[in-house]
Amino acid sequence: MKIETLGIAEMKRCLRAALDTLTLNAPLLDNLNVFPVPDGDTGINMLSTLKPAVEAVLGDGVAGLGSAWELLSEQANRNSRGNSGFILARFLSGFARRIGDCPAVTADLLSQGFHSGSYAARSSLLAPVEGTMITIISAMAEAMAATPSADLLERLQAALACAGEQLFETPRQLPVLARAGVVDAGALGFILFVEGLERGLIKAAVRTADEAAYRFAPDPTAGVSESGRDGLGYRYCTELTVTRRAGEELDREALKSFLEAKGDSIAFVAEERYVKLHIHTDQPEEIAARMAELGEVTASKVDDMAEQLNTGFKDLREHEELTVLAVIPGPGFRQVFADLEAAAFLEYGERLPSSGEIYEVLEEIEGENIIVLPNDKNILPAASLARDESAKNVYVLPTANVVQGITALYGFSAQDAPAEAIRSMEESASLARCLKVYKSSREAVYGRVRICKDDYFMVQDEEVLATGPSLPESVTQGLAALDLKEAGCVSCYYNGDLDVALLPRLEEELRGLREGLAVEIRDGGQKNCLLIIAVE
Amino acid sequence: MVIVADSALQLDTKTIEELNIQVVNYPMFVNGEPYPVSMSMSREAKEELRLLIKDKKNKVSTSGLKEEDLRSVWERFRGEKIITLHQSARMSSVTAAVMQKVRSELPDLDIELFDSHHMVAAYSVQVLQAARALAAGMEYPELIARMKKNRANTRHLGAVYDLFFLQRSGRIGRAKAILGTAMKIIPLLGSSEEAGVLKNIGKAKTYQQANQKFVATLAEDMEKKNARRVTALISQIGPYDRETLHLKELIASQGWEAEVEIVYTSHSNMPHAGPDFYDLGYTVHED
Repeated sequence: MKIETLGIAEMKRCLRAALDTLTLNAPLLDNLNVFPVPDGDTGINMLSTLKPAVEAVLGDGVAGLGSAWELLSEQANRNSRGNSGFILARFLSGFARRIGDCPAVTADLLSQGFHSGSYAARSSLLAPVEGTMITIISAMAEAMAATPSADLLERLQAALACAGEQLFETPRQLPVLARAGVVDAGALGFILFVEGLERGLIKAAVRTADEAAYRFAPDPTAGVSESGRDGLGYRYCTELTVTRRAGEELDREALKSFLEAKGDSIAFVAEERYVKLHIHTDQPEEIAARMAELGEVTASKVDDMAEQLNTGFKDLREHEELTVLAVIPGPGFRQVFADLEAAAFLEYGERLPSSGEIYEVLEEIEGENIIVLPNDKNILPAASLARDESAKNVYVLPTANVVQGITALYGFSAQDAPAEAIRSMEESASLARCLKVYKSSREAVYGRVRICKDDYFMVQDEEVLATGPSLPESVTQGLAALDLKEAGCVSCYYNGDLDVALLPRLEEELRGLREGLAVEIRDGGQKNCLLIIAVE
Repeated sequence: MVIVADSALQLDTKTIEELNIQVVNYPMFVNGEPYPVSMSMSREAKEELRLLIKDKKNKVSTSGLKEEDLRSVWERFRGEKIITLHQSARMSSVTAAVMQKVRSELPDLDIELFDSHHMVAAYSVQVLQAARALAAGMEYPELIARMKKNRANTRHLGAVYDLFFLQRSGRIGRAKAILGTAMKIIPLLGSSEEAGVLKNIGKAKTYQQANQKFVATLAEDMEKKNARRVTALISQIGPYDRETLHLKELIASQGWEAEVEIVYTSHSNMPHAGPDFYDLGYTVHED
């Protein structure tokens, strides 16, 4: 079967099949999810991002291909949830931008769309990590470019074949996956999305993937993950567009080697008429000079990322007071944040908030200078998108968990000048350690630790500190592994599923950890873990 | 030459006597009645007063320095240069007015009025250094120049567990009072650009966090002034021995040439700062 082009009818069929595939396989993706945080929500986040977008395109009145891709992109970005949803949405934006208002997608346009989507996804991340969805997207784009004579279907299939192989490289690139014995859930999610497109194209039934095929023996000796990298190793975020000289060949390998020696977070698109580059580097002039050898530099932008972190507001209005918007995982955190001068709240439950939901709250706030505390690594992308969408002066302080959000506010005063408040909040954000306690619904390997079904386990970052059948003992064991010499207070926020009869013993055991240690137990009302513990 | 201070001074009686600092007492009243106070009050006596203050039904207050008390001390040093060094005039406009009045009525006395621009520990650390310099034989012009320099390099930081008292007496600027919150947060205050006005510099859940913040601020000041030496005074009221000792040790562990003393607060500060606080006043030295 040869398929040369894709029109609006085929596109809708493909998207429906892609949505069906993700719907069928979302639980599998959730089960495999260990990176960037093992919160089992990759599938639901990708689905929550894609579903409203596809439903909008399938609705009445969408007749043109260009407007359909534009709508898909807009809705996906508006509803993006979590890291996986964010990357998928950014890919769709880049893809839609390349398609523009073309009446049909050809094989070449498909390939270029993947390159453009890959560029958009990669360049929107401060610290892209290999072994994840972005690696798979790049591999697919490269595979399509490597089959120039193939038709549209063959290119999709070539991309899927390449991605299938690359998927099993993800544990090698990301040791946390190797230690858990899984492939990257987001990477698999993207493959399933494209597989769905392909099934729709050939009118084949969608399939449920076999979870066992993506699990293998955990390697407890696999190296330490680099996920903690802050992405600020290089100072300048540099973007360049070069109009190429007609007829000149581009030595991609030589250029790639040069760029890799000069920086990271590299995203690169080479079209017949132009080349577009995004890179984090310390030598923007050298990069510009090298790119100028390819033709005329028609657009360039160099942002000092250190400066951006210090004064991230778009258009600071010094005379106006600051408002803090806290994204909170449960109702019990509202009073805590209110006591610390947060004035606006977005409470979520099992599903992370989308960028659209964050945007709506930003618009409801009366003030113009707003600091957003996302309080979860997975909410950071949605918060960043909402900031970009808003006309207000929004600064997203990248608090990775709710404990960081609380302590960041120790440094906040609404009367402070914005730059002073942000500096002080950044300093305060690290004043406490955040630990989380879960109950395992099945036997699992987490990092280097085997966890039995129904056991409690306590996690700090990616490390399991303790596990066992007793909650109080698991918590005290985990805390005993930490240096508590300088700790003055342990605050535990529990969720509604926790047996409250366990709390008095938990409190007693915690008080026994060290003389003079203050202990607070509060109803946080969060949905995603049994206990959130702040050690201050 | 003599140094005259007031009872907001946070130094123990032994130091006061050794350095020959003359102290004028602020009178104190509990529910409108005079309350017996002196710089030589024992910690137990101060604790009694603290509990009276802690009961917010009691109205415990000071009034400005009395004319006769001030006059009496100054007149004892007729013929000498009198450097009278006090808390920020903003803290007590009555006292400032009384000092001006008495000085104008005693034109034959050689009085230098010196406003420390600070209060509590940050006022006291300036008095301590001035008195030591005088005891070491420093002459007037050099001493005044040193006092001005010290004043410019002095900062006041405090952990005030209950802002009710500072708020009632109007001694905090625009800082939001955090009163009885669910989080049991410790408000942290510091001197502002405006002399004698405290501002909110953050919050802490534990004293360790509060002390880290204080030492980070001190470190910034040391760096800005390229200083290696600091003179610091920590004062406390209430059961905060552990907190103040931790702060002293934290400063000592920074590798600076640091002189740090801990004192139990004098009675005069209690009604204003409240019954639960500890504070740090320090001067960084550029030499």
